[in-house]
Amino acid sequence: MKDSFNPSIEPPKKTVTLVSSDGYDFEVEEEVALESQVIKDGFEDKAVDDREYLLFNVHSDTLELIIKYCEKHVSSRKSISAAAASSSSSNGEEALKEWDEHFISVDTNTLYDILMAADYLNIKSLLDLAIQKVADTIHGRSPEQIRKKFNIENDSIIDPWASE
Amino acid sequence: MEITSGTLGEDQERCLEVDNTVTKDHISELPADIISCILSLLTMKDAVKARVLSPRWRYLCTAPSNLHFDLLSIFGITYDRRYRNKISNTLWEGSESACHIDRWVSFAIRKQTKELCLNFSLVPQSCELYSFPCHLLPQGKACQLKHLNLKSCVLKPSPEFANCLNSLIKLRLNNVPLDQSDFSDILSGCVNLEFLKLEKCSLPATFFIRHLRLRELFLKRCGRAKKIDISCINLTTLDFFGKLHKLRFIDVPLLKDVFVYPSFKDSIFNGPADDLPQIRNLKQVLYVARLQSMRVHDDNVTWEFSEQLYPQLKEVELSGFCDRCCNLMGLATYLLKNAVGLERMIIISNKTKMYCGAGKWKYSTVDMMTKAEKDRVHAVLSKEKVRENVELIIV
Repeated sequence: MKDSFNPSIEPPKKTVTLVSSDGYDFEVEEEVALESQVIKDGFEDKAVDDREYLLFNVHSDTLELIIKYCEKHVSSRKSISAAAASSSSSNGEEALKEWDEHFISVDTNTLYDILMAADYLNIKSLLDLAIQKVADTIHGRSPEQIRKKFNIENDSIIDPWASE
Repeated sequence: MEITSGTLGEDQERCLEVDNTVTKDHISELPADIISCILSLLTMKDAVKARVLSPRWRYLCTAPSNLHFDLLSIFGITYDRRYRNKISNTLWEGSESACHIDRWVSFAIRKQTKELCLNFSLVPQSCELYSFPCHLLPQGKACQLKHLNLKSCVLKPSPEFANCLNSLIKLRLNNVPLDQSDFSDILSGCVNLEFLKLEKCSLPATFFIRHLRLRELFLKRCGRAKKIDISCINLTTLDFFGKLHKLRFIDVPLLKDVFVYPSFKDSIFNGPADDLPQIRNLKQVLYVARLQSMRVHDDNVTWEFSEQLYPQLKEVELSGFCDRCCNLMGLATYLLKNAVGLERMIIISNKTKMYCGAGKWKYSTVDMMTKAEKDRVHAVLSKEKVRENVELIIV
C-alpha cells in the first residue's frame, strides 16, 4: 500500500492518489476514496489524470488506517447488497459492525488521529464510530479516571463546582 | 515506518515526537463540534462528569441537543423490579412532583423542543397518574412539538386546549388510559397526525378510530378492546399485535400493508375475517397481507374458517411452519382455496420469524421440518391448489 505507484503495472481500476502529510503516496481505488465526502465533492470536475489529493493534515500511519476502513466498507457494502439482491440471508451487517468495533479499539492517540482525519476528510460513518468510542470510554468512569485516560490536565485550580 | 525516507536522526526525532504525544491531551484539542457530539452521546450523569474535566470541556457544550433524564442517568440507580416501589415512592411525591414535571415540560416547550418523551412507568400503580399538561402548549402555529411519546400517564386535553396538539405528527401512547370521548378529542385536535401508536392502553370494549390524515396505525396489546372500527381514508399501514375479536375497516381505501401478529389461536382469517367483505368492495385493499402464525402448541384446537373469498390477496407468508401443526396446514389449505387471486404462498420452516412491530422481523434459525416433511407438505398443498399459477415456496 505504501509503495509509490509503479507505472509498469496497469491498475485494474481507476485509482486516485492520496498523499499523506509526511509525503507518502497511497494509490487507492476511486470508489474507496469517494467514501470521503470532501473528495467526492468536486471529484467530477477534476481532470482524470489530476486525481491526486494532498492531505496535509493526515499522517501516513493514520491514512493507512482510514484507507483500510474505507476499503472494508466499500467491499462489505457490495457483498451486503449482493446478498440482498439474491435474497439470501446474510449477517454481513453484523460482521461489519464487529469489524468496526475491532477496528476502533485503538489507543487514545490513534483514536484522536482517526477523529481528526475523519473530520477533515468528512467520512461520516467513521466519525460517528470514533465519537461513539470516546463516549463509551467516558461512560462509567470517574472524572479523575477520564482525565488519566485522555491525559487531560485539570488546569482549573479551583474546583469548577465550588464556583457555582 | 519501514520505509527509509529520512536519516536516522529524523527517525529518532519522530520517535521523540511520539513519546511527547503520549503525555499530550489530544482529546481536548478536538474541534468544538466533535466534543459536542461526544457529549450529546453521553447520559446526563456522564455528561456532567465530562464537563468537570477542564474549563474547555465545561464551556464547550452548554446547549446539548438532547436532554435525557432518568433514574440511572441522574441518580445512578439501576432499575430493579424489586425496588420498584421503594424508589418510586421516594421520588414520586404526587402533586408536588407533577408540579416539577410541569415546569420541565414548560421549559421544553419554551425551548421549542421537537420531540418530547415522558416515561412514568416506574411510578407505582397506587399513585395517581401524571396528567400531561396540554394547557402549557402554545396554541396555533407557535408550537414546534412534532413527536410526543407518553408512557404511563394521562392525556386528557380539555376541549378548549385540544387544538394545542395540532403540531403533532407522531403520537405514541403507552399505558395511557383512553376512553372514546377523550380519544376523539385528541384525534380531532391532532389534525396533522400521520403516525399513531397505541400500546398497552386500556381502551373501552368498543373503540372507533377516525382520522383524515393518519397514515400509519400501530396497535399493540390493547387487550381490553374487543372491537375496533377503523375509518382513516389515508391509512396505508396497519400493524396489529394482540388479541381482538373484531377489527372492522370502514373507510380505508389506501390500506395496502396489513401486518398482523395474532396471539395464540387467533388468526386474521378467523374472527376478524368476517370483516373482509368490506375489503372486497375496496379493490386495492389488502394487497399484501403477511400473516404471522406462531407455532401452535395445542394441536387440538381446530380453526373454523368462514367461506369468505379474498380476491385481492396476492401474497401470503406463513412462518414457524411445521406440518405437525394441523392448524397451519388447515390455514394454508384454506387460503389456497379461498384466496382466488393468490400469486404466491411462502411457507417458512427453517427460520422462525418473530414479529417485532413496524414491519421488522427477528429471525431464529431452527428448522422444524426435515426435507422429507417439506416434500410431503408440498405434495399435499399442490393438490389443493385451485389455480395452476400459484407459486408455492417452502423453505
